[in-house]
Amino acid sequence: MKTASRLRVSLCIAALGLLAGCSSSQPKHWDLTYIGGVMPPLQFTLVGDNGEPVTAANFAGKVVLLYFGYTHCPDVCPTTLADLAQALRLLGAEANKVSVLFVSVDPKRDTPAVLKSYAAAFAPQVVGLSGSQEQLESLTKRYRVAYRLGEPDTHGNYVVYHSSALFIFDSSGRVRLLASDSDLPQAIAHDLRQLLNLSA
Amino acid sequence: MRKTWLVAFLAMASACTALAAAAGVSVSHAWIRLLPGNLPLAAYFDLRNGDDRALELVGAQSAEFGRIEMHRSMVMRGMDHMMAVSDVRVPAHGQLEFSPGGYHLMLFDPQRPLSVSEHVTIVLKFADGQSRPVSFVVKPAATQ
Repeated sequence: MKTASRLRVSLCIAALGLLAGCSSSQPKHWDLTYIGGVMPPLQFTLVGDNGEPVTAANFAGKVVLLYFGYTHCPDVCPTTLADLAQALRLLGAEANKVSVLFVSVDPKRDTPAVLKSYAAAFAPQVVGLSGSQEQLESLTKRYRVAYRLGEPDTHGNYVVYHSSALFIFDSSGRVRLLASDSDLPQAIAHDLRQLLNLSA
Repeated sequence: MRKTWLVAFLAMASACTALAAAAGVSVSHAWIRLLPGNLPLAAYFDLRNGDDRALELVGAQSAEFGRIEMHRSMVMRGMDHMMAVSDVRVPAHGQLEFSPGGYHLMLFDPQRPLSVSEHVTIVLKFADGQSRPVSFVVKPAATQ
């Protein structure tokens, strides 16, 4: 009786081991927060930096980082983009399989031309996107991203409060990871490399 | 004649006092993150107060910019916030860091296009009337 139950326990352990073995294609450790399946796949229609319509299909086959910000934000947004540019440098040649989408939550000031020179200042993989209010709302609702325009000061300057979330999609457009603008380039590069290996 | 000397002496004495007070302040790692076009820029630095009394930084000024404000970024409930700050206290023998994601000077209306590696003077102003010209080096947008 005792032997039988011990056998059953060992069988269970063996079965668990097999299960773990089956899922070994899934990396065991992510530096960022794994959110696979929690949010819908990448889908949007926005305006590219030449004023052309851009959809998720334009980035098919790429690992995509989705970040929301605005160009009149001189501190946090550029710091985050500088960190992402560093993460891309750490990836070496693999970096050309990654796109960083910087979606403006300030369509009034961020014209495609402004976004184009802004994005180019960080890395060739950074793409500045804008859109109509409806296009922007549909995307921010889809990923539950909050943003709010502050009151203009006496000079007409205003702050845009925006989510610090950074969503990462695999090369099939499935959401995989959630980062924040305080995550380090090393952590981001580590997880991007794992995602690229999954896609390979 | 004697009066003139006295005025000159008083002027020198007050200049010396001003220098002595400012001598306790040292600023290092002063840099500006360059962004394209006419966008507002952020400036960063480390400030050490070697004096026996606290210092209060109340603003900054430069001929190179239309206006400069002190700001602080912070994350609240997952949202990036940025707010204007009217004064920042540096304790006696203390240190204050203006660094990415925290305190920064926000430089509005650059008066001319700046280029990477050039130096720009910004005057830091303190509550006691002291001011301190600081040379900031311009760095590329993607500087960490």
